[in-house]
Amino acid sequence: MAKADIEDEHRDVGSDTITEPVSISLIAGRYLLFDINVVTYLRRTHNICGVLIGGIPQIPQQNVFLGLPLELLPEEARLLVEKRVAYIVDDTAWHKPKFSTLSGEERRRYLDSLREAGLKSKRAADEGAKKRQAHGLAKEAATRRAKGALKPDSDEKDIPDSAKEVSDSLFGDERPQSPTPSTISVSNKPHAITPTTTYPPLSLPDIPTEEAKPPVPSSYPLFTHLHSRGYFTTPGLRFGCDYTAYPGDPLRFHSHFLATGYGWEEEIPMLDIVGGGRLGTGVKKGFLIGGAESESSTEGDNVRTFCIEWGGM
Amino acid sequence: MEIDEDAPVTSLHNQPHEEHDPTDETQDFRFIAALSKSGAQIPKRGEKDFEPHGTKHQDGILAASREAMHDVLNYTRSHIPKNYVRGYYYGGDENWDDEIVKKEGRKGLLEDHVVAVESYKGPHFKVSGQAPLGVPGARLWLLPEEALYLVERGSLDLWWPARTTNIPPQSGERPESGETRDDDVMDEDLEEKDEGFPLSLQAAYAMLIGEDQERGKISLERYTVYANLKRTGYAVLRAPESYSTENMESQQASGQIASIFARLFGNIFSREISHPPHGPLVKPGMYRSYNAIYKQLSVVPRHKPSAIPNTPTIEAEDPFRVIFHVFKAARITNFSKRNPGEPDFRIAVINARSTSVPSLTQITSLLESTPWCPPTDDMAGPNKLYQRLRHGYRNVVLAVVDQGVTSYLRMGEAAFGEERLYERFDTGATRGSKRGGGRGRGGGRGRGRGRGRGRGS
Amino acid sequence: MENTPQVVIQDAGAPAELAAPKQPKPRGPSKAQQLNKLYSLPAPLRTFPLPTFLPQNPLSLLHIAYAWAKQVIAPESSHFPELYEAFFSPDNRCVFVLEERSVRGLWEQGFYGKGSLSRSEPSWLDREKKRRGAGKALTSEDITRKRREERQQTKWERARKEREAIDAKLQEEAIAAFSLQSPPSPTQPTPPMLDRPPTFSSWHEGLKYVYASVAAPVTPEYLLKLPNSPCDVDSKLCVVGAEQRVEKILLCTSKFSPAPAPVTPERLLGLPNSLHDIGVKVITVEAALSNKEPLIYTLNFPATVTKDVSIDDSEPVIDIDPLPTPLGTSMEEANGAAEIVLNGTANGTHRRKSVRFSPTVEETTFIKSEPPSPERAAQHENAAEVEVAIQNQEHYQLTLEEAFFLSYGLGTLSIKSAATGLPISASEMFTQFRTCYRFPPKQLPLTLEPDDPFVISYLVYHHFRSLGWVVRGGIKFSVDFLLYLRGPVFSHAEFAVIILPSYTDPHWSSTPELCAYVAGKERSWSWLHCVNRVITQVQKTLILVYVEIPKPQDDETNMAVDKILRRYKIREIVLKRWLSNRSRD
Repeated sequence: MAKADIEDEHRDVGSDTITEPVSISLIAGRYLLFDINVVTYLRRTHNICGVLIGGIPQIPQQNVFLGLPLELLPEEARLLVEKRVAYIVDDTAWHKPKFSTLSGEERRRYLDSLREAGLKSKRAADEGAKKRQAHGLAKEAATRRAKGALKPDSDEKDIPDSAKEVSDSLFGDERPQSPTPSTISVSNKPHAITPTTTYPPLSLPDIPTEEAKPPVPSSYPLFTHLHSRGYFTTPGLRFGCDYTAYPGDPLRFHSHFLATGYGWEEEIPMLDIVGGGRLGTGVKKGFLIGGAESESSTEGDNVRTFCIEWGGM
Repeated sequence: MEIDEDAPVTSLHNQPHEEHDPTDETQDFRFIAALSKSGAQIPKRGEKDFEPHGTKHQDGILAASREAMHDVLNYTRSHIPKNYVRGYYYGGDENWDDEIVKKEGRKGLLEDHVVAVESYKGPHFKVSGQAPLGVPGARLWLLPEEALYLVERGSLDLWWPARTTNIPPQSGERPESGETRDDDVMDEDLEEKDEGFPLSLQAAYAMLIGEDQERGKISLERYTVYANLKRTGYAVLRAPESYSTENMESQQASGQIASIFARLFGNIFSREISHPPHGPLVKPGMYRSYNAIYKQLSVVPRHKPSAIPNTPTIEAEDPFRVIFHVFKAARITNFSKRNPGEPDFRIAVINARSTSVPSLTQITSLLESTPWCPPTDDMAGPNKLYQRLRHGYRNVVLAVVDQGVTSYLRMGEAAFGEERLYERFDTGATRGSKRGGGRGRGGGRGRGRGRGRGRGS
Repeated sequence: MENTPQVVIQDAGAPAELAAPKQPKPRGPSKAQQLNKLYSLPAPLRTFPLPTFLPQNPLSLLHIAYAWAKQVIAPESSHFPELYEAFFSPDNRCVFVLEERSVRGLWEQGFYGKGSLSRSEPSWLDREKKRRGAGKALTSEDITRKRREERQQTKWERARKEREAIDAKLQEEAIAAFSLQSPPSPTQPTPPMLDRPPTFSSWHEGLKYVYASVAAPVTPEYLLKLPNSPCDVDSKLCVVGAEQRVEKILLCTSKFSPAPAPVTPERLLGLPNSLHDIGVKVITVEAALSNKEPLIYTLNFPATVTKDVSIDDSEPVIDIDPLPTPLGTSMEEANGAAEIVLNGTANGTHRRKSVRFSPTVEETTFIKSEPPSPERAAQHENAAEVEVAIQNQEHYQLTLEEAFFLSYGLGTLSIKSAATGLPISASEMFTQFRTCYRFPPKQLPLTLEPDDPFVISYLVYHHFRSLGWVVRGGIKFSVDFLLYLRGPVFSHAEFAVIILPSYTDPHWSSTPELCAYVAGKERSWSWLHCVNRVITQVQKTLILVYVEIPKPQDDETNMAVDKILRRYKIREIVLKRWLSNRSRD
């Protein structure tokens, strides 16, 4: 009875395959995640949400919803490494020699898994096309019945077109159209696949013996402090702060704080306080400043945080 | 009584300053269906909760939201035969011995053109890619950002070229729609031919993202901005390297006459007035106009914008340098890659953590690398003062990237010195009264002053 | 002044987008006309233009000749014969004006200065009169306050409704959860006691447990016993965390406040400022695991809560590091369940002062109509009954830039020393202003730096004033200046100015110390976004004004001021957020 885990009731999204530590791709100094299962796992289990920076092939021409890869803050990567939840893989250094020398068994396995996925995709596309054709025909039949047999000839011609247009798929417009029913391929040739991750299907890189610690800015103590209190954080550039802190997953919650880190002895210009306070109050969030107390005698988390509200005189 | 600056301003104001940007906050993936229907709006506010309140109901929504996100992102990119385009990555040094490269050459290509596409269809290649000059039917080469964007979009199948032959298969043997082949034969062909193998999205990132100076690579922040603008619908090209010098040369001819004139006659009118060392600047006396009074006050040098900058231009340096030329969607229909024309926007890409707000030198050299763009004719007249000031004489867009989050700022060269408000102070006086005579209207000047009465509330 | 019929100053041609004078009604001048008349002089200087020549009226020529002759014979000065007067106090770093005539003149002729107790125009006296029931005129501060009160009311309403909805939902779910389980015996409405307190991985989980463990009613009696809100839930102690070191403690007590979001002003004020203000029942892990009697620690309390035993120093230390609760940020901000982080190590207690609002600040921050405590309410009533002749407590202040511009630039202000009453020489004024402008004040020896804050600030002020803008302070918007076209009575400020010193001269990169000095002045992009967002929210445009700092000169004390000012250069950059999706087509 102790653990009230609501999400047991819902389909467990891939987390049963995740074992810690997970791998984080380091590419040109940035920390990226390509595996959706890892992304969901870190989000749910470790309150790490990052920023999605890729496009969604289903609806490519918009920026409101973005997809993989997920870019992590260096602070997030470092926190995960320190907690031994993740380890860093220099992906550029790993991929190049891997692909230059990919051969034999490994290569065959790789191509096999792609072919398998490609076949699946082909079958799904064919089924979808069949469904649409059936749907289109049914719709046409209904329309004809309703109208009466006014123009039998043109209706005949229209069937393939309507099959194309009627789409019960969610992302009709942008996706490349499935082949028209008349040209459903007889062959079983698999579709070409671009997998999202290299590993899997290839085997994961080894965990390095030396822990590579991502370099972090001086606001790192504030970041870990907020994280340890259960907050999710995202980059705060647009809101004029270091981090925007959410009491829960940003998918469902508004942020509570606009947080900026300072050194304990660092001078803070008064106008910055005014601006931050005014901004926070203006967007109904708390303007928070914080930092690690330099001369704290207690061990552990010595970060102090302060919230400033604009009084509105 | 004075206006309360803190009160919300009514919509009488000309410019809609604050616009709701749905990309400011993470949106709930459950609403993605609404987006795919044309013209649908993302719900603006009120959909999210303020804080967790422990209800199962709230937890259920969160789980559903996460599931929606997982499902959408769990998509594997597949390429149907109909529009299939394959590209080969030649970024590694050892691949430069390619025989076709030797045959076709790389004239007119940048070093960064590292992905070769044999045969291509579709609207994307109207704007992206370059073929070597003078070779009909040559392969098309893509820059790293162009290739990565197409891979991400699901429109390009990127392959690592085969080791041994280094020659991609001829077009006749590529799979086409409707063609039937025996599966076994196909497999064997693949194994024997060794066309290379397809790369994952992750591999594409690993190969194409790097430091800006590296050949065949682009930094992640530049790519993020590129992709963001492409997704919005723009055509994005790299700014030509020698832009600044080209810019100066083409402008010099038109601006030379203007500058000679300014030099000849400007000096006549800007006599330096002598001032007593400790003031006051406005010497006591009788002044006929405010113009005369305010002329005495002009001691702080004012910037005068001109088509040719007065001081020698410093070359713009990374990162405060125009990187991308951006063209609006409407221009894509008649687009010419070799001669795209003047872009609608010029973008410089800045990393928020490794740079600071630019110094004057940096912003000036950046602005001076853009063309002269003064307020247009429809902005003339005293009513359009604010518009002119906000428009400026040159402008550039800075894309500031902070760990994946991009914020665009438009910076313009403003010149308040061009708007001498004091010239309006006299207008009433010299206009005279409509009723005739030189007597002023609104007499009784002495009333109300110095007596604290009549505040008009 | 009063006897100059020659003065023909008209309404300065205001652009149509601003308040244009309406056609005069038969009744009298319109409000706009009144404003135009009252604030007709853009500066404390008069002009004497010759009348215009009207070709169709040959008499106008005569008029011109007459005016010209009069001006030659008896010329008048554009400056008023008696300059306005102000006093400079270097210790207080301010220039203040006492004489009523000067105050009115400075405000009405260019909007210089502000009342020390008002937002701009001195209105303290009127507000005080009104407060005592004597005055009737509404000041702008009154209007602002009224508007805020109304907004507060709507926010409380909304908060209360939201809280009710959440509570309803929680009860609903508790009932639903219960109906899935076997009903407990009626004699035991609470969950069975456990050997050890349950453990959770986050306070959120703990909170859910607390709510879920409220038993569903099986008889009408139990229905009535159900808590109305989590505030009424009986003390629950849940230990969170593993190992010997306690990570978090969740508590939800009935007496004390860690309550859901306040839904009335009184509850808001009843909230503690920090955990130091509430009674905290704390259990160490050892005690919990071994089922010993829990050790109880309580801290200082506010007057409204019952007191309890204070900390015994011999016990292991508690290092309380509370989560910040932005009190009063918005009515929806919740206190939630208070969290305490415990450290097991014994290093001595930290007693932290709890922060309380001072009575005066509280008075102006919170709504006056609802006094926070009975004692203060009594004070209020007493004050209202006293009817004493009101002495104006307010004086008029000029910023140093304004004072210098009026005196050095326009020559219409005479500045005297507050201490001696003697005029300050012009040469001395610049140096004095430069040295006292810093805070904390400069230490001796007093050197003049080319990037003295006063010089830079004055340069920009002078630059915009000399172009005809009305320039006022922008600290309320975290900027340096606000620019008004005609003045704050006519329209909102359109532009907000931020000053950025620029060190491009090679001198500033000649040594590592100087390079470090310059690097220290750099501003971050998030700061710029913060300011820009604040400015955009109030419909203004941000202007970055770069001031190029020249290299230092030997001795500027005796240099002519205008020569000093000419060494600098000013560039304006206009900033605007660009939204890619809007500019698409």
